[in-house]
Amino acid sequence: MNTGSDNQIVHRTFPVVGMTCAACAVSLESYLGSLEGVISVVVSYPNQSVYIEFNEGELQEGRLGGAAKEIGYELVTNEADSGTEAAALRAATHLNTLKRKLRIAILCTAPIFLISMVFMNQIPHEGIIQFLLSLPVILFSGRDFYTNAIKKIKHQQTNMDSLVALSTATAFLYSSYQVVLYYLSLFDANPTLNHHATGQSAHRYHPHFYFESATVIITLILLGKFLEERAKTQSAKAIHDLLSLQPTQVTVLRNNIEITIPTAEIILGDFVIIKPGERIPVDGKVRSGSSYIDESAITGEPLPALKEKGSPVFAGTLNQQGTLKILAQKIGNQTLLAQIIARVEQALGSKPEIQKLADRISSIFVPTVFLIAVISALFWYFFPFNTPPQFALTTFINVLIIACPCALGLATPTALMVGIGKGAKHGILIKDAQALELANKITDIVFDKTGTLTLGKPMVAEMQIFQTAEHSETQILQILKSIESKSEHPLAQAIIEHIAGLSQSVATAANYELQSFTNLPGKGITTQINDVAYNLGSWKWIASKPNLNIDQRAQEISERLLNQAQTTIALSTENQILAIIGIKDPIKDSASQTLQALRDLDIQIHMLTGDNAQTAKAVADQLNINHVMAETLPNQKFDYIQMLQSQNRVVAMVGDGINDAQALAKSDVSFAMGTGSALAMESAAITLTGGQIRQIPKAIELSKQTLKTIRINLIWAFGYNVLAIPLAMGIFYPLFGYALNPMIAGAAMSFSSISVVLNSLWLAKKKIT
Amino acid sequence: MNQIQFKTNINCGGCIKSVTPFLNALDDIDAWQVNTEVAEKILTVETEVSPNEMGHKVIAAVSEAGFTIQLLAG
Repeated sequence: MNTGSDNQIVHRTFPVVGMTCAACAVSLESYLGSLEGVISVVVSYPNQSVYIEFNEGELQEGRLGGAAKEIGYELVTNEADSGTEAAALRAATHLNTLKRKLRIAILCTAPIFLISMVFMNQIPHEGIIQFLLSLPVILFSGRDFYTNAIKKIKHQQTNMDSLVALSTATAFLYSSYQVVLYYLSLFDANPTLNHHATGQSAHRYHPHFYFESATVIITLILLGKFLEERAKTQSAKAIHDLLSLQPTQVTVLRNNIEITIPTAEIILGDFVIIKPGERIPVDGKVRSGSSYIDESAITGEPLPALKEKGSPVFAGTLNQQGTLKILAQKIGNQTLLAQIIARVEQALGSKPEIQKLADRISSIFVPTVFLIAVISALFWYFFPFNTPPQFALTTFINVLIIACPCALGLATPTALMVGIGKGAKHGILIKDAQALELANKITDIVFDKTGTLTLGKPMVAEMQIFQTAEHSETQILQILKSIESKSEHPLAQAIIEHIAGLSQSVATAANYELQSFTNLPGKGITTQINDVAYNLGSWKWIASKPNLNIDQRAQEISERLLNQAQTTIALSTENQILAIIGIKDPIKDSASQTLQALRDLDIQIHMLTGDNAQTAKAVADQLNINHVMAETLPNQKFDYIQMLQSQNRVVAMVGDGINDAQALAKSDVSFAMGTGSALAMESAAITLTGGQIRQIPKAIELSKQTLKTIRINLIWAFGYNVLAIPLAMGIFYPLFGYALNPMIAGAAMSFSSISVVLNSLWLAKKKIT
Repeated sequence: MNQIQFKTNINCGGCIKSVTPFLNALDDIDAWQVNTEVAEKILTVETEVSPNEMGHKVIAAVSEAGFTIQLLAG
């Protein structure tokens, strides 16, 4: 079916910016000509334009622009290189429209409310004034309710929109009809005519309008929708802005000269010079130099990795102390970081809306109310019992009007607002209210390891000192501190901090003078102090020294540390071991207790980590986690969540890194560590300040309380109205002579709104255990 | 260190940007530079490998980028 459009050959002419000579034109022509899907290219240098014939099925217009940019030219195409900007624009326009609708609704509803509730019957021509003020609210602000309701009806479904549409339309049409009757009656000498028309003699000079009922509910529900949309748009924008967090200026080598250019002007194949402390702007590989790079942004692992000639580097990672020349192989939105961000945006954008409680209730309530209205109308039509001729129709309308619960618009938003505020007090920052409605249904929680279950910071777990005749313990610590102070190795800081904690005097003493210093990347350091040679480095490297004497104690300690998946480091002279140090990323104090609390709620615990299998196993064993996957890529975390979801599990994800972002966006309820990356926080619905995972069970408890409050709110919202339905049906007409007293309708509305607000506020008082 | 020189039509800054990805992709080039001030538009390449082997690679790369190139003798 699509093959017709997939093989669409199109001809296009685009203006080109950046060609400064005829040879440029030839070069651009050959570059574009090599793209798959391009049939022919003619670049005109005098016209500064390019004529391209290409297959639209194989090649997007935006890709042509991207390709030209890769070698430094700009094609003026109509499409941006990716659809995300267009999507962001659409979302912003949508939000603006919603804002305008809401503003008009508030502006018109406020006077209607005052006229009908405060200045009751005191304003002349109040009917026609209210009618005119209602028009924009119904026709402009509320239009979507009616179009949505019609769409739903075509699929034989009803939701809250249907209820709003049905009841507001009825209230508005009925009230408008009352306005017409009122003016007719002014010219009409015979009051009985009007009496028969409405079935209510009291309506002749004091007709009753329900304009405020119709407009207030539209305004309240629009307000709820606006707040929800605004939160979504803001987070979408925040994610998109993360791409621009990259350095604005970069140094590149062009024609063998270092120049500084804006990051956006990097072309594919540029040599980019990365100085100490700079962030990598592109994906590529190292051409010269060596340095440690903090890749935690991508891999989630805290230890900076050594990069030498040929090593791959990724945009968004942070260079430490060396200088690198890298070849730009992927730029702009082709980088791994940009693609992760794009996938996060996609996952968030395609997230299914959960069916809200109010919608579920409405889906039953609407047909039921409609049925009751029809039955009572039919009843009065066939058994009039001396009622006026049009009583059947009046009953039908009255039932529909009274069924419109204005407090419905307040029930969910007020409870969620109080719930969110309460969460914030407990360090649970809830961005997406939907998460609060879902958190109590969680069946599985997937944890990231590094930075989530662990601190994400390597620390010395064990330090064994081997005193000798020549070296006291203090001296050994002093030697360690002196060497590590000069080292650029990522673990050096952990050792220095540990020594500072052990001995105040060593920490403040002056460092020994190092007479030589040789750094063997990946192995360790060789140095001389007071003419004695020392080696400090990985156990594997130290143990391979030919003259070294390794006694049984040293052997046992090193084996034990390695078995526990600790990074094992040693200090030695030519023949004696002076110290063995085990370093690991410690598990958070609260982890074990938190997991137990979650298990008590019958929640399955999973752990996914980018770290190696041995370290993963050590952590999993200690925390008693059965479902573990090590060496996972960001995509695999995403797939794992999807796999669980396909088994009808409600899955929560807890993570902190950019590598977790896709999984966070995919999961039903997502928790990010406040200590983690910005992308993780923006992708997740809930952020735990300070990375305190022990707040997760509290968030679930809060979700339960909030949902209970919403349920009770809905009972209040519907309750008074449901009680008034028998009145509207005319059950008491034969006894008391009236069907629906408008005062009762008004009282039902006010009481239910007040009850709902009070009940929501009460949520704030409840304790979270 | 071997130096090889070529005569090209790499005329201007735009051309240099176009040819950059192709020359930078050659792993064994230590440095390269085009002198666009002179009529011959001389491309100078520095390399550790043999000039003969490198010469062919450079000519292939620059041609692929859409420029004309020929080895300067001597």
